[in-house]
Amino acid sequence: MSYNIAVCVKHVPHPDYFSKVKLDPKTGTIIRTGIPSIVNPLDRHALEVALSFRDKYGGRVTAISMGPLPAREALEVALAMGADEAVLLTDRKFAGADSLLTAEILAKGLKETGRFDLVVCGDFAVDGSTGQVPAQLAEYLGYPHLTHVQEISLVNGKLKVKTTRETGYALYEAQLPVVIAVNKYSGVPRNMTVPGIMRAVKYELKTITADRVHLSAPNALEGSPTRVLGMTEVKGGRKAVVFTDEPAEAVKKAIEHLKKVGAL
Amino acid sequence: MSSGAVCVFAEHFQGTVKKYSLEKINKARQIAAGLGAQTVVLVCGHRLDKVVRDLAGTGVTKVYAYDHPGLEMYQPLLYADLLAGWAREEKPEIMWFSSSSIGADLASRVAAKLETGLTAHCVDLDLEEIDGKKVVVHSLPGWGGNFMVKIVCPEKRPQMATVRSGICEPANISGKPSAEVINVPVNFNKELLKVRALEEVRDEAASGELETAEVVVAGGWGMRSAGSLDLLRQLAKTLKAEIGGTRPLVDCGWIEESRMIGVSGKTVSPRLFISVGASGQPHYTTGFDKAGVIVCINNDPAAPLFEMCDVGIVGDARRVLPELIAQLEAAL
Repeated sequence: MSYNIAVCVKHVPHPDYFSKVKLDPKTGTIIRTGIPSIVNPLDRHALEVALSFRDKYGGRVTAISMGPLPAREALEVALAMGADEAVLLTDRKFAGADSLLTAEILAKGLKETGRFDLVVCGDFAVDGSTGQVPAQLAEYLGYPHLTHVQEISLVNGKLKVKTTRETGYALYEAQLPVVIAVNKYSGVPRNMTVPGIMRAVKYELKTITADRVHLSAPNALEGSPTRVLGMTEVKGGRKAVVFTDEPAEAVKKAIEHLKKVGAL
Repeated sequence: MSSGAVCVFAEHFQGTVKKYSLEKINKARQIAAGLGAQTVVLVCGHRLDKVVRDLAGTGVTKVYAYDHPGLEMYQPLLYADLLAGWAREEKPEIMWFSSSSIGADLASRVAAKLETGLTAHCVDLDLEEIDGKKVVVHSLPGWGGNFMVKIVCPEKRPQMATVRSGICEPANISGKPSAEVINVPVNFNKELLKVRALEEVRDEAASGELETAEVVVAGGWGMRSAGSLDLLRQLAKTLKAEIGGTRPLVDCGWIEESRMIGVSGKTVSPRLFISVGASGQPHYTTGFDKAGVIVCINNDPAAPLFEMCDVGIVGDARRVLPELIAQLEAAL
């Protein structure tokens, strides 16, 4: 048995630089110049899950990404980690897609690329943090889905899946094909290898543009059901009373203050 | 023309409605009043008698109950099919879910089935008139909590959202259930069990009741350099508090991921929040900025959290915490 496996990867701004993001006072939009991009951290976990599944049960892994041309870097990481193929969905018309439209475009891109038994995503991307795309992608593919996945194995042709809950965990059984979204407990992502890197930089990327996925709206901004109305910078609004005395004295004053405001 | 209903998907555990679902019901009633609409609750599970009775006493207009042995555990496709089917029939104006592992999973699939907009992890919801229509303005922290982003879904209906806990007071459950209860017959296609829950395991160590706690003590990088979390645990014991923390404490294995506070973790709104050894980056402070009183303990007087707390103590946690524990034990 050979499995056709897809991994969705996203090229995202580095979260360590989020505090340097500023608003353009004139347009109210984000200025993100000078912020480096990386592979979304959980997507490296998704790659690990997909690659170890392939290594154990056989098959091929295709990494797919939607983004502008520099998103090639994310696919190069996927190839250097061991992905067999890479596909980039890229078109100016895709810019500004919300989670629903992103899921629709990814689903169409996957259908254009092949017939997949297993689609692995990261649970959420650090930039949007919605975590909505995997389940929505599954709906557009007509596959079942499971999110918050921490462990998978194949038992009698069915996928056994352990998912993380706030209160513990839940075990599921899923028929293939299926979409799963993995979290950070799913295993340590492998490193890139030197032959992998050499192959990645020379790899001729397959690209898919808007005309091939039949985007119904003139562009993604108009085709997305949600709109960003505006953004404001977050600033605190409390009046702090700060004690700098020696611990015994500072603690005494702080407790008195907390009693006065009814917090103790 | 009367508006479609404001609908909340309620979560429950062992016969008790989740506090975060009661909060959303309260908020839904406010929004419904602004629209002149009904407030409706949907609930799925098995042996729901008490849950339904409680929900019917929260001041909502209707409770739709899907009570079936096959719904005892969360079944992603089946739940999504039932809820999307209900929405196609009843055409609600608004549909809210919790930002919980189940709520977020379910809301995503339902929104895709209905091909409508879904806004994730909202911390506030308001009605605003835009182009002559009253629409929901969803507020959520973006870019690691450095920005508050406002999102609308102007055309498609229902306007859907997952909503964080702690957005407002929970709805009271009155002894007299006044809502109309509709027990919906559950028939489903076996195809929907292509993915099937086998077992749910509750792990007390991983959970705690962080999100509903009255008092929370949380540690940051500074506690890690202090070499141990024992002092923080002792403080939590003294105050009968739940423990939370920042990413570095999760990374070194001192607290479970489920206890991480902030953008990628939990949002809490306890009466008293004590933060020790965390400087106060926005991606962390977003997780508790609705707490009643915020106390900050840090050895760096320039830590940003001192600007946004109510009470601050500048000092080394290793010296301040023993003093705080001793004085609290004497005082309480």
